[in-house]
Amino acid sequence: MKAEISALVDDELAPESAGPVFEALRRDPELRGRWDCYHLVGDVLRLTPALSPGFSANVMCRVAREAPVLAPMASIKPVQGRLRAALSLAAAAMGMGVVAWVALSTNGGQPGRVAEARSAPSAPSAPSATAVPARSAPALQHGAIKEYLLAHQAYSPSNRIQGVAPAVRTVSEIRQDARK
Amino acid sequence: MGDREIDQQLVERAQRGDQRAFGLLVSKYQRRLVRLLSRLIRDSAEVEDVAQEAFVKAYRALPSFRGESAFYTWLYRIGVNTAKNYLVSQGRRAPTATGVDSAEAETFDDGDQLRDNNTPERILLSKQIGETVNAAMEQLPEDLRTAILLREIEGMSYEDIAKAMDCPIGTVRSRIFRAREAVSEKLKPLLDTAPDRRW
Repeated sequence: MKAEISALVDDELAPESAGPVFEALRRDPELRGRWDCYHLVGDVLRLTPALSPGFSANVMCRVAREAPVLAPMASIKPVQGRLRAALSLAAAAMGMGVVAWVALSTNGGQPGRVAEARSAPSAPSAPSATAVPARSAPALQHGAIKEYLLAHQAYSPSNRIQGVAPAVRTVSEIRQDARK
Repeated sequence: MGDREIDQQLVERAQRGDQRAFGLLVSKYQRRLVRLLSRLIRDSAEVEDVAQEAFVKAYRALPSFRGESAFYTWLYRIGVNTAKNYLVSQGRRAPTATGVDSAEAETFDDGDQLRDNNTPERILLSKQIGETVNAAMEQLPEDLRTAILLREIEGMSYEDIAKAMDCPIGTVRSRIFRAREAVSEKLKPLLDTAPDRRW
């Protein structure tokens, strides 16, 4: 193991071999002493002056009094990168889906509602005492509903795009009136 | 495997709560950090105090270290800021003519200045360690001494040393290890008296 530590000091250890060496260094104070010593030898040969005895021990005593650091962000960084890309794609797809759903429910749903509205007048929801006779209903409803729709077009479901649908309908009514 | 990768692995271990991994980084960079700070603060006792403070600050800031820069660059930046804050708190200013930044941290030449700053205790220890290392190096076989000097002084890779010495890389690795072991054995009695073994 000491030979591996020596290679690790020189950055010449294969990445797959580093993990076990780090584990051994964590467990064995004798090996940590070797790590210190190998660095010291290199520093002395490069004429770096020595420190006061106990320098690193003092640092580690202070570190030991600190709250434990638990921040594994860096270790999951590559996973985060891939996850972030996948989430971005998923968010984009969901966004497009929402837009498509809104568009279909706004525009695509309209013909169905119109068809329902067209068939509705001949099928009253509930019988009432004031109900008009069946034969005269279409003639009465034609004029009454037209006026009703004109008066209440601002509240109609087709008014989602403000200013456009009401104008189209109004022009259409004016033409019908003009022909008459 | 590069220096930055090793440091990053140690940082990640420290970020997961392994304080000993941080201790390995302290062992690796303590002398270089002190050498750097000696350019900003003249008193050697103060330099060591500031260096200790810088290491503790670095430990506290580990959660924010993302590996975007090399660990030693990040550490040296913390060290320089700690030193400047210390000088301001003492009513002094950091020297501007010899201003230090992390980019030049590895390259400056500070031998004369440091020799002026050393305390008697540090001078004695430096002298003892230096003499022991030199004596041990003298006793090494030529091939071992050449291999470790090419590595430590010239900073050559194992591959380049192998070419220079005309031998396999495995032999280079073995020679450097044996040289270190021989020198370390000589240093052991000296270092066993120091309290640095505790962590």
